[in-house]
Amino acid sequence: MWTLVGRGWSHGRALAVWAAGTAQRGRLEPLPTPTRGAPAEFRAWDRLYTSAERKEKIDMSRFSVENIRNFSIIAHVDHGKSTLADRLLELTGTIDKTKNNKQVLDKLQVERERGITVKAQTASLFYNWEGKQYLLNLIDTPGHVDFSYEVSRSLSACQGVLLVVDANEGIQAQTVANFFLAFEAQLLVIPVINKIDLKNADPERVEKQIEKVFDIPSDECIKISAKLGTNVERVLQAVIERIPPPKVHRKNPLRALVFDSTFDQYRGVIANVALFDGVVSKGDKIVSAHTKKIHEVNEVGVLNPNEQPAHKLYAGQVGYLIAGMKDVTEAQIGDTLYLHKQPVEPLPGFKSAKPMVFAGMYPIDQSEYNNLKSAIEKLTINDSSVTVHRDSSLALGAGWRLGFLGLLHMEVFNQRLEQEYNASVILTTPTVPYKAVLSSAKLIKDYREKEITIINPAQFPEKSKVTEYLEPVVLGTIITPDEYTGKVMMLCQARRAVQKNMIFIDQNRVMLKYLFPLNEIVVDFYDSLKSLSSGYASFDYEDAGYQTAELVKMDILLNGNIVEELVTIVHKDKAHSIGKAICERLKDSLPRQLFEIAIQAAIGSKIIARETVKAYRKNVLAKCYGGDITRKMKLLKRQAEGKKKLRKVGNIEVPRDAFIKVLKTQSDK
Amino acid sequence: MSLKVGHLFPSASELASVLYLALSPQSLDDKELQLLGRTHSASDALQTLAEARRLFPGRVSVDLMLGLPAQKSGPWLRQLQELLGYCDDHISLYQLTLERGTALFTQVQRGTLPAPDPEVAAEMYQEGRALLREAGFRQYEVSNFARNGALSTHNWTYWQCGQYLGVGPGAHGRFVPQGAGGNTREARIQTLEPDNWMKEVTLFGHGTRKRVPLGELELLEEVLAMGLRTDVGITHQHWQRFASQLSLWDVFGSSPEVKALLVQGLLLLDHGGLRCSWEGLAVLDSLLLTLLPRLQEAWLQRAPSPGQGG
Repeated sequence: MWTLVGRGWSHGRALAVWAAGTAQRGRLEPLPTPTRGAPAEFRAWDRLYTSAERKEKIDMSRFSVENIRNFSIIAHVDHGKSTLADRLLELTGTIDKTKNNKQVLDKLQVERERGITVKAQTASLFYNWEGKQYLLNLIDTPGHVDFSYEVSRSLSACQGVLLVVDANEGIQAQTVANFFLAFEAQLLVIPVINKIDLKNADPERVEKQIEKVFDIPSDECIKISAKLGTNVERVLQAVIERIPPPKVHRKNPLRALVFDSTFDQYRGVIANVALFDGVVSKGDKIVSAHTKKIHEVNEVGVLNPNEQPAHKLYAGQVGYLIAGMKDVTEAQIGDTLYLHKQPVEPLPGFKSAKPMVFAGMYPIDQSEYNNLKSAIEKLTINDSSVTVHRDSSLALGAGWRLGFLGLLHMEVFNQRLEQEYNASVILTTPTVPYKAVLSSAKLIKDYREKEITIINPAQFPEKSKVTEYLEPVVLGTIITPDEYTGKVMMLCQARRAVQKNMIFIDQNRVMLKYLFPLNEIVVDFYDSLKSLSSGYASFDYEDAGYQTAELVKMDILLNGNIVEELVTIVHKDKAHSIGKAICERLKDSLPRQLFEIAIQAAIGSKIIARETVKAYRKNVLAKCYGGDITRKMKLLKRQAEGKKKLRKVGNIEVPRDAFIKVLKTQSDK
Repeated sequence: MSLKVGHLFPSASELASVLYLALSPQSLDDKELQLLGRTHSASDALQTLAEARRLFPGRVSVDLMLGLPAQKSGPWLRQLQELLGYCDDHISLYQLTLERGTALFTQVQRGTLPAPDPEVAAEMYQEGRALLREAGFRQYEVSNFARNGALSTHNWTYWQCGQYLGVGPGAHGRFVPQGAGGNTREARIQTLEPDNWMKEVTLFGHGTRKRVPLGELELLEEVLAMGLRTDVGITHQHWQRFASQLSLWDVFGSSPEVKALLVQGLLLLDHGGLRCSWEGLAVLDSLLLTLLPRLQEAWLQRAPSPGQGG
């Protein structure tokens, strides 16, 4: 348990699983689980513990570069990353061993429910070994590869990683995904096999897997039990022995990587930085390579794990920096900071957050609009990777189209909205950013570019004006027990995926790599995969660019009138099944009228699916005598009022509820 | 059975002033009767019917229910056919409405009984009314059929928005309390609980719990909704008694939504007034959702009356 008391609570919650700046909030005593509306009670702690002036500044100059190690811990969910981190902190005296440091992590309800690793804070550990004092910087990464960009930025501040693998579960999809990120960053990988204390542990088998899949000799594996502390000291020693010190130059001008940032309502943006070159201290004027804005540094320090201000931070070191930034967008992950008037080559790999999945978010009722607006604002303060556009739907009123890094990102966001801000939303079916390469000179002029991204189906340019359409694709990795391989392959084929690789990682398990159109997995692929494999299959994916696709715009018509709210972009091959599903959902939710309603799904003028709602033949109160009259009149008048608010398509009345049923995501969690 | 005839009634002369007798066997199928929780059998019902006709010839009405759970169209029509052999000159057909708190409602909710199928009910109604029409009955109201002029004048008052006094626990009334000096029609309800009602009557001389004056628009709305339930509908003269400034043409003549209904053949607006067609009567409540707002609109836009009070 990190007994961090550190940064203030920003609007009560600072634990965003997805990368963009999280500081784990903790106290010296175990906290009760934070509940909604908790912020106020923690404000007092802020004042006590974050006041930097009370602490003495430490001198970081005494750590020569050869004695610095920057590393990270990567693992699949629940393999023991956090527990190992706890033990490392205890071992280095960073946290008091006598306190009962159970894994009472400050988890958000949503994180507990999903079992997502909490992003613990980066910490600088001091460790003595063989007569020398080492500075070991443990840089943490988010647990899910929806956030692979964030992971890769954190890793770029490291020279090595501890790859933790559960001795019973063995290699899982995220083990693989994270390994490859580390491998691409050319980091030294130390395999750590954890949970050897458990009954079903089979470390030898896992060693062989590691050797086979990652090509790392099994004698390099360190077998531990993080829970019991067994052999954990060996890990620290391996970090020192095997991971190289950073190759940096203190004398060069400042070049710092921002690998995380948080917003604190009292102190502004706190950026986690790793210095590649140079030195930074209070009073320095620094510039962001991305925004080009100049800021003056107020404070620098290390995390130990509490904030520990320092006089200066030197090349090769990792810590935090506060420089009067007001918004996390001023210190984006991957950004480079340098001294004013001393520009440097920015560190490679910076990308502006690229959303992979879009969803419409609408308040259940327009009267809730302001509440939802403020909730979204608060949640996005600490998460610069959520893109927000205002949007409006004829059916659902004013709302937003939000872009997320992935499905998990979106789901967690939605859950937090409900749990922490009491905001009920209608989440519309996720869409992905399709692209079109325009051929029409006029359109190219209108959009000012040749290749456009289509977020809203209403903007879909027609075929005659386009050279080609493109859809985003991802490379997905599935690891499954062999007995489900057939079913998994069928599922993938049904989602228009193309197999890229298939290997056995041991006698029982297969790893499959498929190229999927992103659209095919955003809705319920993960659930289907889990369900057909009884929960044993694991899935991960990474962005793989775009591919040409035969996309079409599908209209929904009621008695020949187009329903604008329900236009969708689909792949030609899926048009029929999606069209049919929408028609069926509409049929079930449209109230009967005085005439028959023909529901049709069409592409251009071609009808591809239809359903009918019959007219009703009887709708009159049977008995209407003395006592019934008053009641009946009230009812009729109320119904007439309700009717006024109904959207009319042609002369067909469509209640809002019908739209919601068709538009919302179908997965009922 | 809502009324048991026979030896309970000492002599016919004591009931000479009874206007009519309504028997509600509700079904002529023993299984259905059980379902409905009735304690009489089909043959009981028919026997009673015969007795009643003997005592009050030409003034006996019979009720039959349609749209019961698991009821099928064919067998029900046969029941109706059978009834035609025994009945007097007045029949009422009522579609079942499941009321919360009844045993039937609970059974359907629990799943012990299937929910009634509205499609089947609609079919039964249509076939039933056609059958009765062929047998010489006039469908003078949504649920009421009469031949040889045997209309229920009692109920006619409701639909023509005449005045009526409700006496008894929970009774409703509509009238202008001229005796008390009033000149506005009121809707009155009597106290619901019998014991309380009796106490109040003893103490205060009446059991009226609530009196609500009816505004002119409200009254017109009732005239519209009730009048359209009958086959004659609302004649221009009838309407004028309630709306001196607005004629039916003023209100409905130029509305496009109403025109659509006229074109669809559900409604008729001519020198005879405003009424439902044969098809329209079955879906009256839907038609009212177009007509009522239109009436409200016309009322609010009407030319100010020359000094007349509301």
